[in-house]
Amino acid sequence: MNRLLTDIGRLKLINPVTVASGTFGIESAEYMDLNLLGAVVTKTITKEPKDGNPPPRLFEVPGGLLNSIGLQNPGLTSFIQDVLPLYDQYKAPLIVSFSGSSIKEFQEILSRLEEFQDIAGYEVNVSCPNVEKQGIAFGTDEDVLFELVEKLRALTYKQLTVKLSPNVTNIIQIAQAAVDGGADCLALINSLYGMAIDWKTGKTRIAKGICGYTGAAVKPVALATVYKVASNIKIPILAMGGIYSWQDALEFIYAGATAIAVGTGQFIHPDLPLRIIEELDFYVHEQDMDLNSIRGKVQGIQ
Amino acid sequence: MKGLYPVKTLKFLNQSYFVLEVEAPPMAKEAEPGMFCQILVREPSLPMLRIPISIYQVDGKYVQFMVKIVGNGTDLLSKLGKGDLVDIMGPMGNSFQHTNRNHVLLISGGVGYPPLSFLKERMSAGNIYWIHGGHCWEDTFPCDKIYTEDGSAGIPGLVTTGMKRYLQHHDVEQIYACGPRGMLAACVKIAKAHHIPIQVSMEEYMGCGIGVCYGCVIRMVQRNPEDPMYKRVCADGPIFDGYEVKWDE
Repeated sequence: MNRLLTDIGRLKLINPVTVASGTFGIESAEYMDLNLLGAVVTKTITKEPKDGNPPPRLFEVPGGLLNSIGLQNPGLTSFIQDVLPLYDQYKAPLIVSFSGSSIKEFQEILSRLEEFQDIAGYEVNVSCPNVEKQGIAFGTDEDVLFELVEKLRALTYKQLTVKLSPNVTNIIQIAQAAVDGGADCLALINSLYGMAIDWKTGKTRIAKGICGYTGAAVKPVALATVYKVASNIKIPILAMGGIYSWQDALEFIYAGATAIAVGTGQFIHPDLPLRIIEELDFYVHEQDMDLNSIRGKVQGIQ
Repeated sequence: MKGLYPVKTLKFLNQSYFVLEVEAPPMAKEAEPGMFCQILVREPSLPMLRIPISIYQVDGKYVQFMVKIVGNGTDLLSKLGKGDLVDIMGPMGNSFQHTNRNHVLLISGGVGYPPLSFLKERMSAGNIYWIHGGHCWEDTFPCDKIYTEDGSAGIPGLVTTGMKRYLQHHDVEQIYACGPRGMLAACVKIAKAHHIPIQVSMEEYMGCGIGVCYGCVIRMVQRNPEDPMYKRVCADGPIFDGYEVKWDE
């Protein structure tokens, strides 16, 4: 019996473990069997090719990693021609992450991707902290977000996940807007804002200055965000932010997550998602339980 | 490729540099000059990210890394002892392209020495001349000519001064260089002035090391509008044609 079976809206996953967009690629297949993942999530694509941000793009700080990639990607056409076919051979549901600079552009991308049956669903990235006009502009205003999701919903019967930013004043209002628009699932959280400066020279460590912050240090922020949203919103949550172990995964499920994604942890162990699946599977069998029995059942809050 | 390999030896060359040798037959088999490995210095999980270290020497089933202690990661690595298991991914990246040309010049700076050492070992060219530079005597290793900025070993001055001098009197057909970015930029400028092809080994802050995160990119010369502005050091490099890199940012 598969005790890890997970339902994230319109998609059933063999387990709740996926990969965070941008931390995974077809190159990861050399280190793990992609067939065993709950789902595969691509790096965010945009309509036109994107050069990304100038280097340096990375800097490690205690407990986390600063990043400023800026959605470097080959663009939609090249993605369809060169990248998409590489995933044909894998059974895991393929979720394509995408972003746009206008509602019309989001619609164009989704319409084009709808031609491909192998795509199981979409992750709408409205929360990248490293591009100004793309992404996060749509994830911080609930009216804009509602309109975007509603228009995308009208174009597809496939899984529609909306990835949100924690960098907002009222996450519940934003989450509710995505739900009202017709999202099947909410992905929480994208990178926090971060910055690092060299005290000797006064120089920023990342070329763009302000950048994204991920890794172990953001886990408490992610847990709080997931808990807050899960307590108020009744659609599945795909949780991410500092997940390095099966224990981390369980904590997020207690907070209310349905599924989890491994991100920065893959940079250390590209096969980390598989390890987490194996160990979760072992744990639920050993405990004779399933994840539904603990989902959202965080204890001791007074 | 990823595995746990036992340390065979860890020898200090001086206060700042050490050579780590691991028993890693599959890696030793695939290693080519210019490739690097992603070494994990400590479990568990929290970044520290892996440290990219280029391959210094391969001897049978053993792989050697020459490392300079520059921070926490390399300091921890230096404390390993015989029999300790090290988590290493590699060999990764591309390698120096061999040349059929006869007169080859190697230019290295500081910790840019090891990949050129491996290259020299595997090269068949008849006439190889190697100039190495460093800040002080600690940064110098066996080669044909040494330059130090503080004059504590070899000739006082920059390695690029030595390069210019050598090229005035010799018809070099291919140059290979590894060192800090400023040195490489100067090397390419000089090579260009002499119309000599040059391959450079690049370094950039690295995330995943396998090509998925796009964190370690460098700016490229774009000859056509569709050419990528940035390429990944880990997956598209670390060896690049010096003329293809955009140096003046």
